[in-house]
Amino acid sequence: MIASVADGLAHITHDTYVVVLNLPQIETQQSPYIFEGTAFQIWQLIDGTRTEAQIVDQLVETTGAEREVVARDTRDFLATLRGLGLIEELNA
Amino acid sequence: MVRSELQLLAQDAVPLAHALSEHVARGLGTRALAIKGPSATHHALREARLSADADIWVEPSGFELFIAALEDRGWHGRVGTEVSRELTEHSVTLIHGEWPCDIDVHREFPGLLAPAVTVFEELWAGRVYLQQACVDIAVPGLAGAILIAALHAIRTPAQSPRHASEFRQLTARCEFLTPLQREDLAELAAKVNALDTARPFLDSLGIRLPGPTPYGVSPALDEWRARIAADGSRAAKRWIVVARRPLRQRPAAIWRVLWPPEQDLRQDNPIIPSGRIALNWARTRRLLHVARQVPATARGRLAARRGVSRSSIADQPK
Repeated sequence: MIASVADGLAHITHDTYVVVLNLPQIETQQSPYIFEGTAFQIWQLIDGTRTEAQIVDQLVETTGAEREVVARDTRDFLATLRGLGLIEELNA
Repeated sequence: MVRSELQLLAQDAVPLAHALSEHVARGLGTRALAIKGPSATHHALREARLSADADIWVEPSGFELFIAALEDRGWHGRVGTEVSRELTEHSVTLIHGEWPCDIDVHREFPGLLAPAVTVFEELWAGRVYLQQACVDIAVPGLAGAILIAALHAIRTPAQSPRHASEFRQLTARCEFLTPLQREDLAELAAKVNALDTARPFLDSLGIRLPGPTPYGVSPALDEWRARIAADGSRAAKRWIVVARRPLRQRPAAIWRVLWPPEQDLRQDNPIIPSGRIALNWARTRRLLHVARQVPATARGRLAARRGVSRSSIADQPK
């Protein structure tokens, strides 16, 4: 499955962090989210072309971190984003 | 991982508040224009700078619904005194505990004296779109943005160096307007009844205008002239509120200005220490302040009676 940012979000991307407001669910998520560090790196790779495994590959390659740690962080973060409705899954 | 150590900054909050407002308005099926900040920057009427709030002009029929919808999303009105509410009846300021910026929701704009529906329709007709936080928002076109920027500057006391500088930048930018753009500006000013209020600015551009409207024709214009010629002094603004009252209510209203109730005074000045002595000392300072502004207030009333739209910010050397 390919991860893609959900439609209708308002977002501002900086060099080291991104601020995201979930407009479609603004009644329950009234404030913006700020993603920095690893979360920001993962967020940048959610571009509608990569699967979770490809995101992990890319992060391992660019950061040199252990695959197991990266895979766990990525899985957790994507699950959180999915739960918040900030991303959606596309069929590969 | 979602929890961040970073605080939401105004530089991000303001564009997001614009995007939020557009989303809410669209959901209600109503129309909203973002005015001032992004609009002025888009039209190169001022340098890009950090705004402290989002100014959203909602069409009159959707105003109350829009406020209610934002309240449903955690925004609420800022508490103010009766006088401050009367002085800012053109807009409602909403705040949210987790946002470092306000949303000022306008039902009209000071100095645009035609009926609110007419003004909104005219500005909406000239709208253009720009992006804030990756969301398309509507802003006034060039003529509308110029009028709003000019009236905002004229209405603000010339003592503010930033506003004086922005007014100079605005007039400098407008020197390069084409004849057609000048025509559009004059035409819009006439349609939204701003020829008299924006006269100092339009005069500075060399736009030919009909003669000024005399005193007594439009109470709103008389108030505007009194306020502007008094350099926006607080006493002049408070006198405007007093003058709106029927004659029999004015003595009490004047007393309220001169010797305000404790609640009003503490809302205006939250730093006043507790206790009767501190309160009365603050009242005395207020009284002296009002007394010092009597000449400016009188100057404003005189200008209004003469039918003069004078603005010190427009008088400053370029």
